[in-house]
Amino acid sequence: MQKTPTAIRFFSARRILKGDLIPSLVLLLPSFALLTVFIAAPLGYSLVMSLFDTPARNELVFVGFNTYGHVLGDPAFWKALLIGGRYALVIVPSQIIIAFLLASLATKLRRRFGAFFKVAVYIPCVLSGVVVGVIFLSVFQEDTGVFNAILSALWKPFALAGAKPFTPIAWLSDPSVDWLACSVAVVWAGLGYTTLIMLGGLYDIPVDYYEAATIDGAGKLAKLFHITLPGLKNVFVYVLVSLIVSSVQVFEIPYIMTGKGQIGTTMGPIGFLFDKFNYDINKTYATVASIVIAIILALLSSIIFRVISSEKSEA
Amino acid sequence: MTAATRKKISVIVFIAVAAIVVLSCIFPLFWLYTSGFKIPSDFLSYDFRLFPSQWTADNYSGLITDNLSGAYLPKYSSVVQSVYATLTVASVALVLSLFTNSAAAYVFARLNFKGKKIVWLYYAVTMFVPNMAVMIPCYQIVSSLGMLNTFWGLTLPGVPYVWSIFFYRQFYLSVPRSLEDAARVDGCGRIRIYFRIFLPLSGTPFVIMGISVFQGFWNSYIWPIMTVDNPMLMQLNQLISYFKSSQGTQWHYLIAGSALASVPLIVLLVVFQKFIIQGVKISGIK
Repeated sequence: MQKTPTAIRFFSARRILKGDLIPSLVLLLPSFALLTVFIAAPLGYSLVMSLFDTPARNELVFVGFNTYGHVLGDPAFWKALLIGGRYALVIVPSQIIIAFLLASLATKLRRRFGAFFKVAVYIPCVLSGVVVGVIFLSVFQEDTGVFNAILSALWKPFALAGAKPFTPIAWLSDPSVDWLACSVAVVWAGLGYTTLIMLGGLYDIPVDYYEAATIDGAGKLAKLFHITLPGLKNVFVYVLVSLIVSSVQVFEIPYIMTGKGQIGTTMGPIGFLFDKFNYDINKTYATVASIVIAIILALLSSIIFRVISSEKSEA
Repeated sequence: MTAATRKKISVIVFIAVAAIVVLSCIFPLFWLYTSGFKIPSDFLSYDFRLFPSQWTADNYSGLITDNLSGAYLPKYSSVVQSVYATLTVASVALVLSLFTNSAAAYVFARLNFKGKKIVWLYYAVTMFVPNMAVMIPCYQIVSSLGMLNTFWGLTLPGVPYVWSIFFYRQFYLSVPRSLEDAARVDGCGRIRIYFRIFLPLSGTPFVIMGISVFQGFWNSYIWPIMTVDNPMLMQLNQLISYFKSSQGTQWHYLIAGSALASVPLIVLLVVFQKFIIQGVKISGIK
């Protein structure tokens, strides 16, 4: 221990001399290189290329923001964004309500059941979009699917009472309902995550609050509106914004369930990009469209970040 | 109505609603796993049947032994080969992801150099760029590097993952400095401290992040269909989707393949449940 002072002086002198520059460079290099090649460079490249047109191979014409104008003036682009928005409108509230129900149910379970419940509810979240798509492709088949079978069974009493017999619904090809069938699948696939987040929020509300309210004679509804919901405010905001961003980007599940045939009803912005990517020889349009969508989504994500950082400063 | 009966009714209603919600959450999974054991004609039957009319494991064994390539799958491809290809891509990507991102996290948590803030900003900005928006330009870069249809083209683009750097950094910030100082007094360099002290301490964050990285690669679909058509490299989800076709979906293979593809992930979930649920909680807080 006697040697410590010299050791400290030695290593602080070395620090001034060299800093940590060399070890930092060595350790950062792999991630920096990968990040640059596969994320930053593509973005930079696409920003530059978005200003050019390639009418023929090896020919570049500067067109400025022309292509942006084409994209923003393309009704199909706005249609795709609207479809993404429609998904968000259906998926976000239904997911939040069902997740809240499940989470409050879980708080009433005994400990061992609670652990089992958490795993069970999270299973759909580990499945791939393809697997979820396949499950619901089968469930929503018009003639052979379970969903129509259940509906028809539920309809039986009405049919016996004289209503007209149940006609199977074409869940996957009728443009007025196919996007709803896809939304059901998406809600199911993401439910576990939202439930677990809400459950965490519910456990963070101090039990004392409820006890104090009981002493004051508050009823169940009063507790729900004055303790539970306000206590979950931050959780709700986080879930809300992240769900909006993710449901606008829904792609794989509808792609498997309805295929690209339903471009105008089930394919959101990502489906639009994918379609342009596959069928346009000129990639500039797809590139520009992806930049515009990126900007919209980045705006949404930055809202998330601000919400989260303001939450932190409150704590 | 007395208060007691009112309470009883509200409990019954609560249980009924809960039961319906829980059942409809479980049902699709139940449907997937029991349907995998159906005989092919069950899938085309108009009569509703909860269980297979005849239980059979042929669909599963058929995925492995039947001669599917050329008939339903692309020529020279096979389910076994695609499991192998998916597993190697996911494993290599996982190892690279853990090492490269945690090394960067260590630098941002502990080391100092001029310009560190700018470099951190460079990393952080990419965190907000949605994945889907990078895909098309990334395809063009990968294509110009000659990496389309290659193992590395499937693997490397998913390795840089800034959110995981952020996550490891938070963890490294909480490692006591005294641990490191002792090693520094003994003459350990920064890089050795990373390998000798920080890496061995990273078990928990590595499991939490590792599972989600592995899951992402195991489940990947859109990137493989954009970049790969070599039957030796086809990823599992990509291959399964071939059983669905406009000429006639091979339901028994499609369902059995999906059930099979999801099993490893569910096993991982059950084994590492504590870590995964902790990971979900952290993702919500940060």
